[in-house]
Amino acid sequence: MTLHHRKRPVLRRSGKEVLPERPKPDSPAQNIQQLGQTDVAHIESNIYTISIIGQIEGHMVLPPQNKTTKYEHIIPQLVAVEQNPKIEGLLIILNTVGGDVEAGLAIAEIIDTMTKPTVSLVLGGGHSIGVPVAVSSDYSFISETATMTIHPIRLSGFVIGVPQTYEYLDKMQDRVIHFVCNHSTISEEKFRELMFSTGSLARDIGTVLVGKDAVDLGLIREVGGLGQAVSRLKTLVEERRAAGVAT
Amino acid sequence: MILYTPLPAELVLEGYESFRPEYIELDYRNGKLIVELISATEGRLVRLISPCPDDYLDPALQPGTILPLRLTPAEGHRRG
Repeated sequence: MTLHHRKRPVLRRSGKEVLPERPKPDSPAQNIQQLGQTDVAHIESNIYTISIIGQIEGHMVLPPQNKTTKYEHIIPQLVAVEQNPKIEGLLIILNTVGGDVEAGLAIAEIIDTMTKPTVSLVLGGGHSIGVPVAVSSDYSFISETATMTIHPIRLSGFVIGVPQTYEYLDKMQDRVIHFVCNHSTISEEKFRELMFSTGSLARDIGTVLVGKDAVDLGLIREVGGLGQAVSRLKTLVEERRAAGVAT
Repeated sequence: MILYTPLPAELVLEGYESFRPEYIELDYRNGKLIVELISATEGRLVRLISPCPDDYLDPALQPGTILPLRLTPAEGHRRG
């Protein structure tokens, strides 16, 4: 996809005019000199990748020591992926430590309701609110060494500006549990058991699942890496094409 | 807002009280850009507000992009 800046935009701010100065390298050599970068060949792909990294940032901007995934950008990106005829499949790569419950669930819901094939791959970690995002795709992978932490919301969660009642947090937790159980083969009973298990985490209750554990419990479909995830996505794209669904 | 993360809240929210970035809002193409001023000549794109979904796929408009900014006198001043 090529979305070029058609003309130099004029940006205004309260009586002042702000012009973005875009470096316009004329040759690759100049590019290297100016930006320390080389030109990368522009290859069109029918697969779009979104990586969910660090903290999933919600209604509050987190301090800069956090690496964050901004839900307000991811959501319209997913809208674009769904409606763009050039994109036929979505690969979601997760390496997240969780984050805002509502932002995470919003991303999970939107991935779940997309009509284009989606494949998720948990690399490194897909903890807490990363779990519903990981299971929201059509097919999910976890790398051999990746981990997923399942723990209750209330013990390590942090509440700002809402009455911190047990019922409220319990309701939030139920939203997560129901989503995960409806989108994977794990039973609600088993998921709750993992969530409240003691002895596995040092300063919290819950469970850490490593690679194959998540597959054995029915949370994730398969242990695999990038190759498997991309080839699975290509298969799903082919199946969709064969079914004659217009993109 | 509820943070659901295995990280301790004090680690995630460290410096939250003193974190007061200065944002400016700029008109751009189909919508607006929320830019954090990081120096007199540079801004960091924080948020894109646009009704066109494809704008969100533009590599130049991803959050975190550093935009060189140049403050110039407003048109009205120049005319006068």
